[in-house]
Amino acid sequence: MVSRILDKYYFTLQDGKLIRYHFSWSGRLKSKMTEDNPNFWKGIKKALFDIPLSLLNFRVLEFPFFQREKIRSVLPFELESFLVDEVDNYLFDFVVLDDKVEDNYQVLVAYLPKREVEKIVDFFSSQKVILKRITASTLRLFKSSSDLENIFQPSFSYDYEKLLARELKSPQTDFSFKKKELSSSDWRERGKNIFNKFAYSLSFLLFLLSLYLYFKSQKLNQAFKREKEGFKLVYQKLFPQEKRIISPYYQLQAHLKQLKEEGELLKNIEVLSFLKDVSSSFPVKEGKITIMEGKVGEVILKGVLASTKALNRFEKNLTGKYDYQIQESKLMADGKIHFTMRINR
Amino acid sequence: MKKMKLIIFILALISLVWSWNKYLVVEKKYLKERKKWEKFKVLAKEAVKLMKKNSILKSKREKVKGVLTGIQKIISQLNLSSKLLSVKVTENTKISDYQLEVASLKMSGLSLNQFINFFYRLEFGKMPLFLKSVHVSLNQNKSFDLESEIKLVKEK
Repeated sequence: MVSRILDKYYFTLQDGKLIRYHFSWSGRLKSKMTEDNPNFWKGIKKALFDIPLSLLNFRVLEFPFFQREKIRSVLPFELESFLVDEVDNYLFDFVVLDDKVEDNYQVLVAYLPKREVEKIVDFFSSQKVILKRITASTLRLFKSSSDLENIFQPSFSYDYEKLLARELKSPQTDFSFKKKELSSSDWRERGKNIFNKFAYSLSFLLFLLSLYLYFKSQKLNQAFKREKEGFKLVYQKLFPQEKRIISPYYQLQAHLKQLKEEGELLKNIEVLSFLKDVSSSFPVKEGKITIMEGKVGEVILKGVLASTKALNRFEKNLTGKYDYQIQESKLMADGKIHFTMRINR
Repeated sequence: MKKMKLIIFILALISLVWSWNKYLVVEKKYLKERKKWEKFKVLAKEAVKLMKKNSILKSKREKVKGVLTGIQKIISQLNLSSKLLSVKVTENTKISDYQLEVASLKMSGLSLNQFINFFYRLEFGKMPLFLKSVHVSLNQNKSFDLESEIKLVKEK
């Protein structure tokens, strides 16, 4: 997988046909195919393009120096004199030849119109392939001025694949395709691709999110329906005689109101059970209850007890059972105590 | 292609807005229902409690014409006619589905046994009679004087 990522694709034109060379990361040729192959463009995002000899124009110029940087800086002015169009509309590269003429170095300049290259770059862009570099590997063939004549002879042959592999391993030519106007189209393309990917991913995410929300709302809807059924079931259990159930919640509220009214009506004083409870707390041997007044929720007891201690005992026994209050207690001359007690029920 | 991209994005956005809105509506509805359900549970518990409490009425099914008839029936059953001082109807109203009749009763000289029997008939008898208020006093002869309000609750 890693090796595939490092693989290089080299394109060139041969007899008007586009050819693809597939090199491994180590520079070994893996495959070669023509455009009519269905897998020609498959999986390629970046590539290199090698300009064939036939597209290049040549000119031999002489310079008193051989440093590439120096030559590159003065070359446009030298070219200007014999180019038809403006020099900016051309791309060029050069090779310093071995020959010297009167202490001047001979330089082979290869050039071609920029629009030719732009056409190539645009074509690759339309195939969604970014051209990383554009080379002319055949320039490696030129060593001396005599080569110029030999190379264009029909009998001349050379191993083109080897040249490409060498160019790939140690690049020597570069048609200034890293120039702003061309590289920027690369970046533009790359930016466009990234934006496209981002836009598609965002749309996909939005769809996913909306799907998630849709299913979540469906689930909630089901839970809501179950809850509603729950109301009905509970209501039916409470009031099985009722046939028409429209809104269990409001119907229950109405029933509750009725039940409360019923409860109010049926409130009762349970005299016997109250007296039974109180008598278990009252010290019977030490006194008596003489009056009992009762209404719903409240009973008033009046009585006599032998001593304050007995009253305290009675109170203690009532604690925790009833909410009570001694309203009045009066110590008589004979030591007995008369009391009035209110008990809330 | 550009248009297509834009259409896809807009569609995705519309679907998101639509589903988000749908989700919010359903969630709101569901939360409202949940709250209602919690209240409903409390109300249902209260209703069960009240129904249990009120079931006493259902157990008191003996038909009685009026409150006086009911009281007199108990008094005659217990042979307490001699102890009766007065009995009269003080209230006769209709409350929702019920007819309410209240009578005030005065008796004196009841023995402990008669006192207990009387209240036992009232509390555990089959007639829908209930004690509204009571005043019992122990007199000098160690017998009980009784003043009370007794109500009769009848379903209409």
